[in-house]
Amino acid sequence: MSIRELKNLLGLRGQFLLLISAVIIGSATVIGLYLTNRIEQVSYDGVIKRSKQLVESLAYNAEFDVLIGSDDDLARIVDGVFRDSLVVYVRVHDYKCNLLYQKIRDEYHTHDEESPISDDDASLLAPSCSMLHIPNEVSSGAPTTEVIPDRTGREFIHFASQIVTWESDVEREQLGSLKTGASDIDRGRWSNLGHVQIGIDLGPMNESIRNTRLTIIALTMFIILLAIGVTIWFLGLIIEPIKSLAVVTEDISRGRLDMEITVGSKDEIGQLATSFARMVDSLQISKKEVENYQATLEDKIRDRTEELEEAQNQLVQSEKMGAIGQLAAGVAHELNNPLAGILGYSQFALEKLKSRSAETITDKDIASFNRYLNDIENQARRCKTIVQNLLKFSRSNQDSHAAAFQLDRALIETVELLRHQLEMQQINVVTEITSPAPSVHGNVGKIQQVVTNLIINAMHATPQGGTITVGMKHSPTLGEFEGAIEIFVSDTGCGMADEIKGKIFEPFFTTKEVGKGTGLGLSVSYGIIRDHGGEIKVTSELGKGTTFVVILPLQSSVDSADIKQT
Amino acid sequence: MQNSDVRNKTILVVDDEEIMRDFLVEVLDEYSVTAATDGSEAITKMETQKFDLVITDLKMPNVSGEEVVRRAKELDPDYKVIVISGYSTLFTVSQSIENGACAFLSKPFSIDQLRSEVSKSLK
Repeated sequence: MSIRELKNLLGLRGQFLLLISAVIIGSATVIGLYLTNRIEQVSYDGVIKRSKQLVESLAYNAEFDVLIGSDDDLARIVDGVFRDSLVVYVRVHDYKCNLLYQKIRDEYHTHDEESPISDDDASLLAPSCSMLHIPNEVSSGAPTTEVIPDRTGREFIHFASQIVTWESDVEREQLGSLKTGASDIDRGRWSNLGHVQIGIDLGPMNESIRNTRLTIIALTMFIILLAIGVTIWFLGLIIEPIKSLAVVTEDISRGRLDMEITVGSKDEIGQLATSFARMVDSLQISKKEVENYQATLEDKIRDRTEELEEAQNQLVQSEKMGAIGQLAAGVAHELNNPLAGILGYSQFALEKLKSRSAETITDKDIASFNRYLNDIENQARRCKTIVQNLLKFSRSNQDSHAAAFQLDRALIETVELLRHQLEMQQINVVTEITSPAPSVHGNVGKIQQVVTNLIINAMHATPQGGTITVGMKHSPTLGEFEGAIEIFVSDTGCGMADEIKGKIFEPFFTTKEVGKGTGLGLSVSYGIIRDHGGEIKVTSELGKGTTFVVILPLQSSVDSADIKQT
Repeated sequence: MQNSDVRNKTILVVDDEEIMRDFLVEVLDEYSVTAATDGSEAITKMETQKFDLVITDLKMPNVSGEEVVRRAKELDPDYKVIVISGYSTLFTVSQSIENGACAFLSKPFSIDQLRSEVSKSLK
């Protein structure tokens, strides 16, 4: 497990707890160990010092008794030493290592009836005289004291101290004489009388130390547990509010701003909670503001969208009107010729009639009148056809009915509607329409609207003397179209650059100046062809010309419900 | 004006519409009227014969009426040309006058209008 995973597993509380516990345990252990060691050391040093003092004072006190050889007094002194509970035995030797006196504490008696050693024999416990390093002479006026460790496996320590005496040069006999002064007595030397040995039992001390150590350990553990417990409790104090703040924050983030944040304490946690509560309040206010704004915004958007849709509808309408208007203009001009004939011949005939009377009228005149009236009639019929074509075109535009129609007839009609206008622009019109053509299922008026749009666009792009070709091709398959027919409108006009080609089907895109053309013609045409399940494609070369190709499935998927009223 | 003088005046009528040609020929029968069906035929005729007046339509296939006017003026700067058109915008009218036409009649026109312009031009 990586450190990060461990951290995540523990959480804030766990991490802190772990850290604090480590610190507490570490320091408690260190302190405990140190204390134990120090106690041990101090106790030991104390015992050694005390015992040394004891053995040295015994050696000092024993001098007189050893000199005079008084056992009773020696016994008395030793008893005094025995008052110290640590003392196990006392032995007194002379300078020849003869045992002068010994005593052993009752508890350490061997109590063995078989044993030849008497109860007071400390020889089993004490090191023998020969093992000591007590010298026979006295060095620098001070008695030698030796500390001997125990080699019997018991928790003993043995001490030996020289018994020294001053041997003055003054004769014994002269001692009582008044003539000898202190200075005479001062002349002499210290000499070794023997030594005293005591044994000290460290057992009790060690026991006490062990007990103390255990106590310290217990205390340490208690402290550790207490400290950890307090830490856990305190962590809880901190973590719990944070946890509940976290929960509240979670709810807030989900949008619920009505949570109550209880503020208990005045300390940092309390302050945090207070600021938090304030923040939540202002959040709530902001949220309300946003909601209000949102509501009004939605209204505004709805209104704006309606306005835009309205404007768009109007533009589409005006585009249609524009298209029809274009046709109407052409048609109107087309009408001028037959009208000129009608007007002219009518006026001419009237004139002639005025200048003749019943008598002067000739057969030739009557023949002429016949001719004139025939021409007028023909021209009037012609006007009728022209107008009818236009009406048929605009009427079928309104109609969203889909039916089977002959494409060749539809194309020829469209071309005828526009031919006059094209010729006025000095543009040659060539048709490559094969008859009979297969029947196409769709809305004939809409298809004618598309072709009209393409022809008018071609007209605008083509200069005088140019040529526009309108034709169709039928093949069983056209690209991915099964059973489709291709209509093309080519011109020898100015062509289009590639970047224009990409945009021409976009609504409102136009290369004409403002006011001339809505830019909707091709996007509307595109929509119509798409509704029929077909495609419009364009190829163009700058300066050479443009060709629009419309591919229509013969059985288009369009039906009256599908065709949008554009 | 003397009948004989008038009969001597040659007029070239150019229009791709048959009805217009027939009508103009009929109405202007006091003059010597020749008809041409399009601009190129008209120019060919003009190059071989000097007409007193040319009456031409503007929007015709192949060679337009504007060409006819220009060519006439090339042949003779004083060539009399009347332009008739069903397509009369300010632009076409002013362009025709600039090209040298002496009159512009928009279809449909009345016979009186026609006659008045013709006699004016033939003076």
